[in-house]
Amino acid sequence: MSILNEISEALQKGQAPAVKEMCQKALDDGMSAKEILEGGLMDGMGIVGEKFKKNEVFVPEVLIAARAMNAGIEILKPLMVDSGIEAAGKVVIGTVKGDLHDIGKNLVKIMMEGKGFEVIDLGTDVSAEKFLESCKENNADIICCSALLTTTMTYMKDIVAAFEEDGVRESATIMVGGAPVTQNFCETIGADIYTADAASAADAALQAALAG
Amino acid sequence: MNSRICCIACGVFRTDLDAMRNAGEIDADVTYLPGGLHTEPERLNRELKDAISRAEGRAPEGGWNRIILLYGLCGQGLTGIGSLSAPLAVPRVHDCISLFMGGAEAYRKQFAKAPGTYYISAGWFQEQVEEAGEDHWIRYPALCMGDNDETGLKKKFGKENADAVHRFLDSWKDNYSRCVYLDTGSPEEARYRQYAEKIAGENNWEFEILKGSRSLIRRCFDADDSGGDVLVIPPGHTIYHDPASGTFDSGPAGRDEQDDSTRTITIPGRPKAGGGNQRIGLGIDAGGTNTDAVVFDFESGAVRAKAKAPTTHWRYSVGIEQAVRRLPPQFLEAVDLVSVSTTLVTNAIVENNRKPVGLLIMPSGGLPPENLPDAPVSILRGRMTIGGDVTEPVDEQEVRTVAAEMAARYRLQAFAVSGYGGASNPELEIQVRDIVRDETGLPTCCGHEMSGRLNFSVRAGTAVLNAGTIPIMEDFLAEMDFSLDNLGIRAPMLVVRGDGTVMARDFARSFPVQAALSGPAASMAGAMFLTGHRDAVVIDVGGTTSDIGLLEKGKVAIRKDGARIGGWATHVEAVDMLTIGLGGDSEIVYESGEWILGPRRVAPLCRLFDDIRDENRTALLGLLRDVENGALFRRESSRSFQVLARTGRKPDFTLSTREQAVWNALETGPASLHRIAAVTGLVSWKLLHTRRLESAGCLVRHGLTPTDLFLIDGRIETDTVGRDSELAGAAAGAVCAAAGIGLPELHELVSERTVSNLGRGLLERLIEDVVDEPVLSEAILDHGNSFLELRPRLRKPLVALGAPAGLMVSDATRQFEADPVLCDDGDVANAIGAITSRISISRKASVVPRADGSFRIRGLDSPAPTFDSLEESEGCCMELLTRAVRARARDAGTSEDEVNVTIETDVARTEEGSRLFVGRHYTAVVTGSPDLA
Repeated sequence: MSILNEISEALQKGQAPAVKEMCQKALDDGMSAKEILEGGLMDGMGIVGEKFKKNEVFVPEVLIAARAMNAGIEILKPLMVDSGIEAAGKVVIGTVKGDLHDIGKNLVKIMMEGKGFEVIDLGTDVSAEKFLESCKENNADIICCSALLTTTMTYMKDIVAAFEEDGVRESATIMVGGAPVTQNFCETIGADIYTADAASAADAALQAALAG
Repeated sequence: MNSRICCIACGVFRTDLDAMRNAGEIDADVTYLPGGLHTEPERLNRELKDAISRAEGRAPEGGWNRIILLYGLCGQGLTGIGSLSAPLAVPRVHDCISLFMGGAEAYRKQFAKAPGTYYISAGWFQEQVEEAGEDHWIRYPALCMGDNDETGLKKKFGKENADAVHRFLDSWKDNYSRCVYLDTGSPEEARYRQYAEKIAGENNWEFEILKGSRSLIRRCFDADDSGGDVLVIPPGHTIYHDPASGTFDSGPAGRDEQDDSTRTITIPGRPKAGGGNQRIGLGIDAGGTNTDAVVFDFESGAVRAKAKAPTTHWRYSVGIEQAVRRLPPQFLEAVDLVSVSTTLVTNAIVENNRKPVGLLIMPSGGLPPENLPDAPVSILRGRMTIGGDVTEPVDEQEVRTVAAEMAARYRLQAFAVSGYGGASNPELEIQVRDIVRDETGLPTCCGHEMSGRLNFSVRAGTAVLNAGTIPIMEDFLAEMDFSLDNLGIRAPMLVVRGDGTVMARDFARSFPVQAALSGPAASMAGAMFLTGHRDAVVIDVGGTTSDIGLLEKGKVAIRKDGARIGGWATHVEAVDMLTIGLGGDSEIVYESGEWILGPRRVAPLCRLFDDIRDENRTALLGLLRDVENGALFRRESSRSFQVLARTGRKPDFTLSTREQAVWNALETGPASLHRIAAVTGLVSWKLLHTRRLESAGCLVRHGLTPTDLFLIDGRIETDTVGRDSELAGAAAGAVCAAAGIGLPELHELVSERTVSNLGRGLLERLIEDVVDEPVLSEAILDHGNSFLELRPRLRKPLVALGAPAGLMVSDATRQFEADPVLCDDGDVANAIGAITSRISISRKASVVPRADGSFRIRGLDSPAPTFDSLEESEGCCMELLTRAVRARARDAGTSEDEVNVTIETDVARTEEGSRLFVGRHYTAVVTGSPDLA
């Protein structure tokens, strides 16, 4: 088994120290940070994401895999710029105003980072203007809004409206998600993308980034 | 037990109901269902139905007086519930927290104080913690995730990983700030309170004891109407969730869907006094080439007289006066209404002749928006949210200083103000506008006055265009007053808007940008009047261009995302048309082996007759015959024998030497470019400097046009377009000789080009984005290929307007299996549209839900009010909107006050299948005939 496969396997099992060690070894063997990131870490994270979508694994497995991935990235980080690694895109994420539930949002963040996105996390109770300003300051491509309550999800319409009001609606892809959110809701409020789970959200974001 | 009241309650109410029963406050047959069913709404629904039928089975003689269901929305598990034998009573609350607090209002206050609050009541503790042990998720969250229990997680993934999972799943606790014990007066209060205090301590939350209330629970036992916070459902009715109000309602069984389709209601007005009895109207269209005037008889609906004169772009009123003077004078005295459409505003914008405007902006944050219009800009204090909540007030002193400075530095003639959120709440824009007017005395326009649509930089741009054309419109209105006075006409004047409706002159002075694109809009409106078709495709073939637009349901089709005027994105509601650079006066030129047909416009040669002196004409004919005989430059561009003529307007700028030479050469009358070059001693006509003189309207260029061709083959009458068919024929002969083809081939060629350009244009106008699919549009225009036949057929009539309209359009429309509808007065349809159009004003507002359960009104001029119930906010919204639209309709010139309000509701499905109210939108419209005084 190649070392990249080994890294991927270890990552899927959440073996952070092993992943870290093998990343260092792979570097010492002359592999580029880009190869290790894509062939090892992101490969493993992608497999976990697929299994999560099919309910073969649950949140704890995703979390520990993400933890292992971060351990590997720590080793690669100093070399990433030289290795020509660019973020897949910039994502601004947050739980909407009035809502404090962020487990789902945090999972999406992990999945997006696993796909190579730079994620700017605005936390919970985020106003439409905060999404807007952060998107403009960071020149982000994708806005992810999460809500757990039916009473707060309607605020997502305000977020779409804020981008329209500022004349930047065309330049940002707005994604919506959270337990009560549906495709029908996404269309009703004029958002761009809805996905049912965190792993699909990351896939859809990647597609949107490639298309854009 | 002899109680006549049955109660089916969630287990969390056991403690409180028992206490109430023991105290003798209530007397009821109580059944408890397990707590926590709100997480499984379908099971809750099933169990409730079972419990009700069991209760019905054991009903006392005479039946239950009522069956109480102590549930809130609870995942909407109550939808479809009902009883055939007894009334049901349900509290209208979101969940049990409100019930423990005594009502939804108390909960809302607490939510506003600290949204991240963990509530514990005696009943909840007993049922959920002591009975079911259901508090594990707050203590051991990983239990909820698959089959991992506390030790299993550690075993499986190691301690560090297990800890990390815990930290992640516990992270929500950081977002909470408070644990509240709801004290409803339970005897064992201390035990529950201690538990709550412990939870607070473990999580570092503030601990608070709130006095609960059983008053709402009690009301469920005795409230008898459905007005308040208890819903009483008659037997046979079932519960449905009303997404709009966010609470329950009930109706005849089977009704669980609210009808949210769009509806229109009419608010009747007073009978209109003195309106609609005009007798004679004067309709005027000052277009790009000609100014048309018609006398219209309102009683018979007939055109009594029509006249044309060349448009005088440097001073529109001159051409208007000329056209009107050509009408029979006896009609003019009787005129009691005048209506004008004009390219004045469009041209001022397209040619960048607007007056200087300063733009004051209040963005959402620190960064100004991109795509701001081209004007001096300052960013002011004053911020608000998208919902219209002001987060930073306007600074009066700052506004004064900035406005005064800008006005002086840029010699401004007007200001525009636009702010983020202004369409939701215009408060800040209005404040700034009033201060600027007070400080500078200059006209000041706000973005929200231009449109209620989102995108405040487009509103800013629209306001800049509007403010910058106010002085131009003011001058025009003053000139028109003078001209009408000269003509002896004393009647109110209207100006046509870009959507084909009209506005009073004072309204036009405030909103001149609304007059942009009024010419084509008036034509479309005229086409509707002349043909009676309420749905049709209209092609207006002008001199320079042809416009393709639509009539839909008796209205000129409007561009929904706002008109583009001279390359500017605006929120002006104007005709949605496609313009093709092809008209009756498009130049026909043969140059370097290529045929050119438009987009440049020249005056037809056949119209030269009146102006040209005999000897010049003879010289020109000689020249053309020389070309035809091959004696002169066969290879050169046929432009060289286009003819320049003075218009009567003197240049108001200093002429260059070459311009002066051209000017002098035309002293003795029109001459060809070839001849002017020879006279001024230039080796080629290409070296002549004529552009400035032509665009200033001092010189006019004549050349061969489709109109000339129609004249020489006898397809149009001489008098309507010009008379000099001999000259036209000579020019056509010369061009044909230069290109080496015969006259019939030239006819064929022009016809083919016209067919192809108009066909493409029609397709583009009728199928959105077809230009992005060239393969598709070619296939349609080619009628398919050898295997597949594609034949487009128009579903609506096609109306052709303009002087040579029939000739240019009929071949082109045959490929769409349509025969154009032509009308007698199609050449003055624009002037007829101007005088026959009505005033129509629309305003929009919305009611949107807020997270705390209240409703907000957006889009009205007064600061956005907030209400607790949808009914209240709806009532207020309708009243204010009706008042606002009536006021604006009066300003626009009609005292009609019947209002039609169209109501649209946005409702979405949530994951659990219920319907969620997202917003309700009101569009109020007043349509009326113009007042005569």
